[in-house]
Amino acid sequence: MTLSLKSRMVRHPGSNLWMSIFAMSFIDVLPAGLPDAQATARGSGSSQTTERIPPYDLAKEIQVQGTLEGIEPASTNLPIGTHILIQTAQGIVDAHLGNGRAASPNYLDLLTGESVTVRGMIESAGGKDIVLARILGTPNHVFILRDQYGIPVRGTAKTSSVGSNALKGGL
Amino acid sequence: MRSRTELPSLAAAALLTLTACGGGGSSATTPGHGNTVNAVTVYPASTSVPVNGIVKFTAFLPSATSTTFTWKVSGGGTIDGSTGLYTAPASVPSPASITVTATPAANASLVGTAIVNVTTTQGVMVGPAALAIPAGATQTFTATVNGAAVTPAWEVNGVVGGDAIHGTIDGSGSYTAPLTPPPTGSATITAVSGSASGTAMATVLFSDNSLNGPYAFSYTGDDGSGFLTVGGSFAAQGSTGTISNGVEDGASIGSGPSKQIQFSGTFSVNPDGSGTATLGGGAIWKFTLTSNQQGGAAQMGLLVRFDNTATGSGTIDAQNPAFLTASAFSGNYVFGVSGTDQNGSPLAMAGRFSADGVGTIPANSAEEDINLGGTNTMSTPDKSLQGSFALDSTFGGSNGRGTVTLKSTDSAVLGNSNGSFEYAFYIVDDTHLKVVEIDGNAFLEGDFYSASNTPATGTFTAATALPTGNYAFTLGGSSGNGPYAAGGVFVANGGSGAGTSGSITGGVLDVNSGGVQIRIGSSLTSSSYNADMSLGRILLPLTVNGGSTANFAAYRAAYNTPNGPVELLEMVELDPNQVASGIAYPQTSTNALGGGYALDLAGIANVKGGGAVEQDFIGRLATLGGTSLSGTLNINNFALTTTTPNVPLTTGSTIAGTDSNGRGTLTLNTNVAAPVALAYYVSDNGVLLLETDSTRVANGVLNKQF
Repeated sequence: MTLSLKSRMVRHPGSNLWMSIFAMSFIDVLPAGLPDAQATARGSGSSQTTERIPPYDLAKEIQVQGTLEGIEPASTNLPIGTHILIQTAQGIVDAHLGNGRAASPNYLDLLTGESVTVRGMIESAGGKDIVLARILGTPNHVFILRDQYGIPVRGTAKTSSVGSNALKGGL
Repeated sequence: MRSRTELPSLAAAALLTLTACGGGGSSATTPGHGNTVNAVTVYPASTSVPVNGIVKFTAFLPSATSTTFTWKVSGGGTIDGSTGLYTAPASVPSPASITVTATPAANASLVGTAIVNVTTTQGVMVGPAALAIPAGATQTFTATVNGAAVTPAWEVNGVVGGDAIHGTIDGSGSYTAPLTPPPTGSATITAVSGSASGTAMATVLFSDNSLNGPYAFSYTGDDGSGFLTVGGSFAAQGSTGTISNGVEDGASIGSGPSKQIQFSGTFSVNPDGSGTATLGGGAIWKFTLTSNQQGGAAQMGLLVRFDNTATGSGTIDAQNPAFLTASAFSGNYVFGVSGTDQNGSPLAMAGRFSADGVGTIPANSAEEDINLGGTNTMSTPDKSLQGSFALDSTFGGSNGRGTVTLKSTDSAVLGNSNGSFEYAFYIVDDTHLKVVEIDGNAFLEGDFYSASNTPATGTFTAATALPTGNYAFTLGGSSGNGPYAAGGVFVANGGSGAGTSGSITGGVLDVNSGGVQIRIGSSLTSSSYNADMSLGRILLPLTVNGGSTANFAAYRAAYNTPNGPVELLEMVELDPNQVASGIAYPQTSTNALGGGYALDLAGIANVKGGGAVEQDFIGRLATLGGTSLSGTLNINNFALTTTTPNVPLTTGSTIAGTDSNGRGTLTLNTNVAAPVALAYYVSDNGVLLLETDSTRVANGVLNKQF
C-alpha cells in the first residue's frame, strides 16, 4: 500500500517554526535489514554490552500504518521518551517518537483512535524491537521527528557534558 | 493491561507484528527505603581535648536548618543540653573516648554523634580547646598556665598571627576564621608561653561569608520550552547574605533571547557549603560551594536552578576583578559551545581563535569543528572563523560583561546564512570566559579557555597538541535513542619527536544511549590521532574493541585556579549518529576519595506522568571511611514541576574503588531516587560521573570542597 502526502507546510505547535514537507510516498514496509541484534542483550529493561551502537540507517527504514492505540508520554519503556502504540493488522507496534517537548503528545496533538503512519528504523534493545520514528503522519499533520541521522529534532537532550562543565573551575 | 508480544525478526517479515507490553526500566534504580545515613552532622565530628577542656559543638540538619538540638554525653564530662557546650572531666576517663549526641527538635528520630578523646593536661591550657566556627567569624581564645592567665604568642597552623588560608589571630587571642574551610577543614591554634605550649582546634564551617565578591555563572536547562541557557554575573555580600548588581543574558527556545536582565536577591550558606539563593523574579538556586585553597571566599560552586518554572545545571565561578577589562581577553583561546540551532537540531562546536585584547578576533588564525544534527566537519574543519568583541559600556567594568561575535563563511555544515553567532560573555579571569548566545540564531552556551599552554601557531606536534597521558572525559548530547551520554578514559602516547601523529594505546568507553543502549566497559584499542600543525586541532578517533570508531575533534587549553593551571581538552564528536560534546582532563590521580564533595548530576529522565524531561541533582556528599557515603541531595524533577530539597542518602550509598582505568562506581541511595554512575577519577579534587542505569541519561561531577 502506498500513502501519498501532498506538499504542505507543517507548523510545529507552540513555535514559529514552519517546516516544508514535500510530496512523499510511503509504502507500508520498506525492505528492512535487521538491526545488529547481536549488539544488544535480550532481556527486560536496558541492554548492557560493550559493542558500539548501530547507527541510524535510512536504507533500513520501514513504514507502519495503523490506528493509534495508546500514547505513553513517559513510561518505563525504553528508549527514554514518548512512545506510541500502533494497532496494525498484524499486532501492536511500539514506536519511539523522541524525547522532550517536540515529542510530547500535546505538542503533536495526538488522539487515540486516529490513523497514523510512522516511518522509521527498527532498533532491537532491551529485549524488544522498537521503531525509532523519523516521520509521523496524522490525519492533519506530518511531523519530522528525527533528522536523516536518526537524531531527534528538539530532543532537549543535554547537548554538552554537564559533568565536564561542572568541573570547570573546580580542579 | 494491554497485551502485546515482542516484535519478531523482520528479516523475512513484510509486516510488523505485535510488540511487547509494559516492562522496561530497571529495578536497580528503584529508590530504596534504607536508613538515613548521618542526617545530622555534628561539628567537630571528632577532636582531642585535655582534661577540663571545653568544646563548643554545633549541629546541622539540612532539612531543618533552624532547628534546636538536645545534647547528651556518655563516657565522661558534662554538656549543656541546649547549647552543646561540653566540658571534659578532670581526669582521663577509661576508655578515653567519649560520645556526644545531638537530637534535633525537628525530628527526634534522628541523631548526630561526635567523638571526643580526652587527653592529659597541656602546658598551656587553651580555651576553648575545640570549637566549630563559621567562616569569617571571630572567637577569642584564652590561655592559662596552672590556672593563671598568661599572654602567649599565638599561632595558627604554626604561623605566628596566622594566614589567610587557616585564619588569623591577634595578640589578644582573637581568632578570625578564613572565609572558607582550610585544607582538612580545621585550623590548629597554638599558644606559646615560654617553653610551654598548648593547642586548640577550630573546625571552620562554611557560612554566608563564604560567598562574597563578584561571581560569574552559567547554566543550561529547561523552562518548559525545551531548552534554556543563562549566563550572568552578580556581587555577593557575605556579611548580609544579599546579592546585588546582578545581570544575566540567556535564551529560551520558547521565548528567544533575553539580554542584560538585572536582578538582586538573597542567599544563605549552610555549614556544609550547600546553600540557597532566591532571586528577584522568583528564580531559586541551590548550590554547593568549594573552598578557596588560597584563602578568601569560595572560588566556585555547583549550581542548580531549583524552582517550578525552570531547571538547569551549571557553575558559579569567582571573578577576578583585575581582569574585568577588554584587555584581559587577549591571546589564544579554545572554545566549546553547545545547544540547538534555531530549528531545534542539536548543535555542538569547539575550536580555537586568538583575541587581540582590543576588539578583534582575526581571520586566518582560527578554526572550528561543528556537529549539527549529525552533519559535521569530520572531513575539513572550518577555517573561516573570525570575529570581534567589545566590553559592555554599562556592565563591563562591574560585571565583566561584553559581547563577542564569531563568524564563519564556511557553509558546509551551517548553511549559507547561519554562520554568525553573537554571545554575551562574562569574564572570570584572563583564562576563562563564560558565554551564552544572544542573537536568536541558535541557542548555545559554553566557555572560552586560554590556550596559552599550547605552542604558537604553526608549530604544533602530536606531543604538544595532545601530550602523553591518561585522559578522563564525559560527553553529553543526542543520538537516535534521544538523550545520549558517554564517558571514558583514553591513553595517548604523545607521538614521537616533531611528528604530528600519535597513538591512542588503550582505555575504555562507556555509553548510555536513551537509557536503552547501555554499553559499559568497551575497551579502546589502538588508533592514531593527528594534530594540525598550524592550530593544534586534534583529530581523535577512539576505536572500540578493534572495530567501530567514534571520531572527535579536540582542542587543548587550560584555565587558572588558586591551585595552578588546569589543563583540558574541549571535545566534539564528529559522527553522524551522535551529536555530543564534552571535556577531557588529564588524569592526575586515582586516589580514593576522602572528605566533603559537591555533587551535580543532570540529564534526561523518564518521569511517569511528566514526560522525558531534564532532571537536576545537586548535593553535598561526605565519605565515611571505606566506600560509604553520607549526604543530602536536592532534586529538581522538572517533568512534574516538583522540587525536592534535602533528600538524605540512605544506607548503601557508596563510591567503590577504581579499576585499571581509574574508573569506579558511585551508588546513591535515597527514598526518592537511586542513581548509579560510573566515576572517572580526574585528580584529588574531582571525579566525572556517567549515570549507567536506564532511569535517566545523565552525567555529572564530584568536586572536593576543601
